[in-house]
Amino acid sequence: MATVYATDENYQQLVSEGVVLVDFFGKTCVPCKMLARVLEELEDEFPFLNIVKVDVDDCPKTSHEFEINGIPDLYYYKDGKVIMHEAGSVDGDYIREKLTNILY
Amino acid sequence: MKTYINKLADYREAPFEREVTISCPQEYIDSQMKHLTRSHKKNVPVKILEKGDVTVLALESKLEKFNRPSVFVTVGGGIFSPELEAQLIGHEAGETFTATVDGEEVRVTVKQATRAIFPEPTDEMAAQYAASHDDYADCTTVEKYKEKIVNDYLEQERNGALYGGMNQILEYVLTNSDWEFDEEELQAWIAEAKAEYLQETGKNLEDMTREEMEGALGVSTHEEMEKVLYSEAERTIAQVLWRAAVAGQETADKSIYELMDEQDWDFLENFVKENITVKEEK
Repeated sequence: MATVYATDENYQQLVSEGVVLVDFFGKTCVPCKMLARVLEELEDEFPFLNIVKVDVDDCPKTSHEFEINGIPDLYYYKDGKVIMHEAGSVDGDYIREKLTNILY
Repeated sequence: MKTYINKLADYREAPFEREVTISCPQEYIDSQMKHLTRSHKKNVPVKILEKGDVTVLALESKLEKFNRPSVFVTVGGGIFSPELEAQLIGHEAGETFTATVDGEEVRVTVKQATRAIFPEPTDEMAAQYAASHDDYADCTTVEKYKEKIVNDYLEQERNGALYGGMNQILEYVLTNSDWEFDEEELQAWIAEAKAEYLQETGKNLEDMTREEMEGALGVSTHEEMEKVLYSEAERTIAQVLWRAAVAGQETADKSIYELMDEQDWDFLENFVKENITVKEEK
């Protein structure tokens, strides 16, 4: 699937299967831009990882439902279930470590 | 606060790395260059496996994790099994061989292997990237982009050296001092931490499953989690009292949160800045 931009309508469908990394972000948020580069690097390295990006301005319903108060906010899904989430910018090694526990 | 200091080590006597040399590794520059070229990359099938290749493997073993008909693994990616991934290098797509993981044999068939090929970056690609990324708006050539990548990296390293020094001093003070902790204050801090976690994540720490705890906290049992929280409570209260002592704050009639509101780490940051030399290596 690689990286897909979600809408309020297709969000649930995008996270329903496999391991999915969801990035709630804002277009003008600086830490979000840093995290975006980290996620691009992860996508290049692990193209089989599903990454869903949710622009909080474009997806108000989903953002409200998840009570997103700060961005970036990363949600880790496995087969439709939230395993964990992490508010704030994190580096690639940190995400790799979490994926080790969740992906396999 | 009822917790008090029996003995406080002098932070100015703490050993820390006072001379630090920083440089930007070529591997990092190469990885960042890919941001310019990734929209032009091509995934091609490969024969001989190298680090970074993406494989589909069939695994047979007594080990549950290594007994799968089909699994995606990036060679050297480090998230499936660094031990197995290292043994993939040099093998061929289509080949079946025996690897060893944790002393057990694993029968590996490389069902498929691809490699992402990134083209050489050009000024045109840099200009395109600059046009769509505000932070890189001035980086309209490959050279300017590279300069920013290196400068940003070195700035991070300088900050890392500074905070590394601060952390070394912090550990010295925590290890060489002695506090008389009040159990009630420790438990109050733990309860507050649990409440904050619930508010931030919607998850009650006490109801978490083993999988959730491993993913979020790196612990497997509730007992381990309580130990981590207890230790964190001690560290936090100890740090607050240390900062209060350095600043000459009165602690008896104040809560930990009232003290924290009035505190910062400026004294420690300034001390390290005045006593550290950071050299840049080209």
